[in-house]
Amino acid sequence: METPQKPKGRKKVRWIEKNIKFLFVVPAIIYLLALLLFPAVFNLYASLHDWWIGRSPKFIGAENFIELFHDNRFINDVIVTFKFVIIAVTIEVGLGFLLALAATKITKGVQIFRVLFIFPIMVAPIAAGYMWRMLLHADYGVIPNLLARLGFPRVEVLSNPKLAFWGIILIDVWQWMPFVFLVTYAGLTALPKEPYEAALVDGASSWQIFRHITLPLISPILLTVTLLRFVEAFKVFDIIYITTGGGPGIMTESLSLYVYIQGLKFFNLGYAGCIAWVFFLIVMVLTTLYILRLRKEMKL
Amino acid sequence: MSYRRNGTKRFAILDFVPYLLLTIVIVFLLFPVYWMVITSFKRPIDTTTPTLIPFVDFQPTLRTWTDIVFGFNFYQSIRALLNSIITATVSATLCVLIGGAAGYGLSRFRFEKWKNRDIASFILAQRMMPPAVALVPLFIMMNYFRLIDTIIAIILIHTAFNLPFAIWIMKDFFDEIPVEIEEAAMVDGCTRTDAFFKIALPLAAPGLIVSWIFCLAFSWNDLMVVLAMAYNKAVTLPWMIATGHSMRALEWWTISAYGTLAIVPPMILAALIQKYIVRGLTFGAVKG
Amino acid sequence: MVKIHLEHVTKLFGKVVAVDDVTLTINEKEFMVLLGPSGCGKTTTLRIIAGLEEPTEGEVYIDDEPVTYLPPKDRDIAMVFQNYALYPHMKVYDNIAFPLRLRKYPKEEIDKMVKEVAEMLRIEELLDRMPKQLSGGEQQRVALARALIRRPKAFLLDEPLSNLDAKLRVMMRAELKRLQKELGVTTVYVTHDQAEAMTMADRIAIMKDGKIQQVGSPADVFNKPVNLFVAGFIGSPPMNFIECTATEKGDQFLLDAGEFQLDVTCFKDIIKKNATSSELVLGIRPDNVMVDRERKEGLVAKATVYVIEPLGSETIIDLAIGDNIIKARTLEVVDLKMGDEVWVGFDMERLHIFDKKTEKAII
Repeated sequence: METPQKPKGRKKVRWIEKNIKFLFVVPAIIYLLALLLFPAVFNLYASLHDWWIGRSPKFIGAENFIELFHDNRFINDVIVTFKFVIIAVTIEVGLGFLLALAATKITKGVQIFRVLFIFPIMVAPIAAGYMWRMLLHADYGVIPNLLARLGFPRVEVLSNPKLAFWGIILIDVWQWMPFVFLVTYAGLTALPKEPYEAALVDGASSWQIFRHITLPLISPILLTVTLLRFVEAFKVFDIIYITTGGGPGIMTESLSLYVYIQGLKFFNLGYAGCIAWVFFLIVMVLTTLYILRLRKEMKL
Repeated sequence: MSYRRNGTKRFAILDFVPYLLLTIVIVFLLFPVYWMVITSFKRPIDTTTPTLIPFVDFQPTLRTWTDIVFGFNFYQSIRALLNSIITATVSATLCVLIGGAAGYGLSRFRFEKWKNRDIASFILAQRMMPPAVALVPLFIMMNYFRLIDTIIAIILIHTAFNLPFAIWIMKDFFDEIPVEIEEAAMVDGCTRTDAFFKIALPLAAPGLIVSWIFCLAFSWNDLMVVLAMAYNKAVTLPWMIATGHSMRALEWWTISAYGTLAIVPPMILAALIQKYIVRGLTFGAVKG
Repeated sequence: MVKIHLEHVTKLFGKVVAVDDVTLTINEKEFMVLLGPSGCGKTTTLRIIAGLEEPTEGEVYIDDEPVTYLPPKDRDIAMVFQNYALYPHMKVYDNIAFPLRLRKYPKEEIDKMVKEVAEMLRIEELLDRMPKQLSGGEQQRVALARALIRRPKAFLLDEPLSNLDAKLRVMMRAELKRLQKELGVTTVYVTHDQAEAMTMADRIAIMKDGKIQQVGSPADVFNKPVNLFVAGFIGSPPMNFIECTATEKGDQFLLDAGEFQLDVTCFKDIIKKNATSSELVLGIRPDNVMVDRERKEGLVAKATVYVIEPLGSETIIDLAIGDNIIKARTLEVVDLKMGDEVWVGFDMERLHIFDKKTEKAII
């Protein structure tokens, strides 16, 4: 038998066949590096400099970071953001899951509920904020009007120091609780039947079934959806921008809003870059957790 | 016997509670949307009182809408609508093209140096980054290329933000198509490229549509990027809502009309792919 | 003539050796079965023949032409996959016609050939359906039709029957064999089911850990297994193995299993020449175990009946000899019960002896 030669004409074809995998992936990678890695590098550079737009940067080492940790506004925003994320997500997950459990008891018409639940999720957050601003308007809004008829005083919820924060929570819950509902409902309906039948045969009560079968089986999905909501809620910007603008004062200012204000209102590039990095690192922790979950769920 | 009667009665009430609960929630969820839509059909005078039902509570009018389309600021509103349509469709299409290829690559080939799942995780991590973080550098970048207040800047940035999503979802969809089907095609006489175009791509069509719609909605709904990159020529509907509101604080009716324009397309598209909503929004973790 | 030849083929996945230096010739019109447990490299070998994998080392020849680096489409082979890999977005008709369309056959000819092959496989009624609407058996026929239609040089099948139910599997076994003989196509068939291999193959190549253990006709591998693995893998119920030590007592050469001793003086020279130590393994197929209540000529060991498994036409008797359980198969009516004491003997003509250390067959 002759030795198999790799003919010359094939060489080019073979090269393409061998490297075709890169042709598929490289455009996306380049695109992402250009538009998303650049900001990271830029922010890092800027954060180490005293740099305002239109002026040349001056190297100041970690001074921006030191200033940041003494910046009451930043500390306030970190607290507001965390408070917002924790409270909003807790309510969303709690309510959404509860409703999903209720929906599993329904035999007819679930399909309709499911479609209707999709709508808030798809509403532009800016429009969502705007709707609620209208509804909550002290003089013309439906809700204060209703409450006034019941004898409550008329308050402008979104500019009230005590209530503004809760107004924003309300809007976020309105938009994202349905998402938790849809995900957990999907999870609940996909649970295997056998453990339930086994438990019924074993004579378990409905509470016991919930506690020992439903909850353990659904908890991976609850964890997934909670983590995802955490990651997403940290980005909150639009609804605050339109409803309170961070006010009254800075009582509802989120980190996203602060980066935006420092960078694009004050044009303090160095300081904005510095906030961006700290913000990024906080979210990165949660992101990593979520991605690890994804890998587990999807068996990657 | 009485035990039995009691039992069925209790059962009937229990059956009714979830319906009631869900109906209340649906009212809570849909009422704001309804309110905004009807406000856009109200005469300005009617917007100051809580009137609920058209023709009963108030006389609906198309005046707001005709003002938007033919009125003094018609140029701006039509342009915002067109900008919204162009940026959303173009960036969604770019995402699906580049992302579909990358998703296929990650699903079908083995990468040695960095493992596939590491590349994929790195890509997805980009998606989870808060957009605000990248905003200032991107502003500087676009300023450098003289792209501020152009829809090109907005398209480029939206594509960058949504591309990771498209890649991940497409990878998820391609993963579901058995490799053997493409291999069968190759044995039957296809080249690898043929197998991709004739077999893999048609089979991944639902995935392509789903990612396209999601990317479209993300782009359509975005405010922050537009706020940072546009001030006049390149503004979109969300920008109109955000700034229109601060300019004419009490013109509920006009902004409601912009709002209605802004929310209807994503809602219709989402209803079309409702089977895949959960899967898309959880990045494939929950198949729905 | 279509002959497939693998020359020192090795395939590595990272550091894992999937196929380890395989050299194998598949003759013209031959039905060759690659048999082995999962993970033994049989499917990878098949995929290398198909061109879906490139070997790390070694060469593949089809008709003495080196094809190692030829893409699958230029090899003119057809393949049936374990999950059938039908194109889900095409009707059955289009599935079958697809290979011809790629080769730009005229429309009328395609139609004629599709009808022909559909008739041969009795799927004429299914041509308008989508793959999803078909049962497993029907899908399998469509996959076969798609492979057969272009009269390929060779036919590669990767566990094509493993997703069918037991009854259908046995039926398809015979049908596939008949088809292969009628068409006279060189065929490579991968399976982990030894019964499938035995019934269909002209020759069987048994693989383990990426290496070929033995190549031979079904009778060969059944009657003359070269090592413990092949002996244990072929045959159902599997061969009984009893560990024992070779001892000499005067003129006699005995195998001492503790509970009993077997006189193998007749094999003395062969054993002495080939064994690396006195540690040996005695192998005997269930068919060749004799059982009786009384001690008769040739019965050497005392045993207790452990379980009786009647299978209708035959009966499997599990016997406990000390700690060893061995199986015997008999076609006769058995009047034994569990716990009965019996005497057991072995058919000396059908005895196998293996070296315990090298696992190689001595006899």
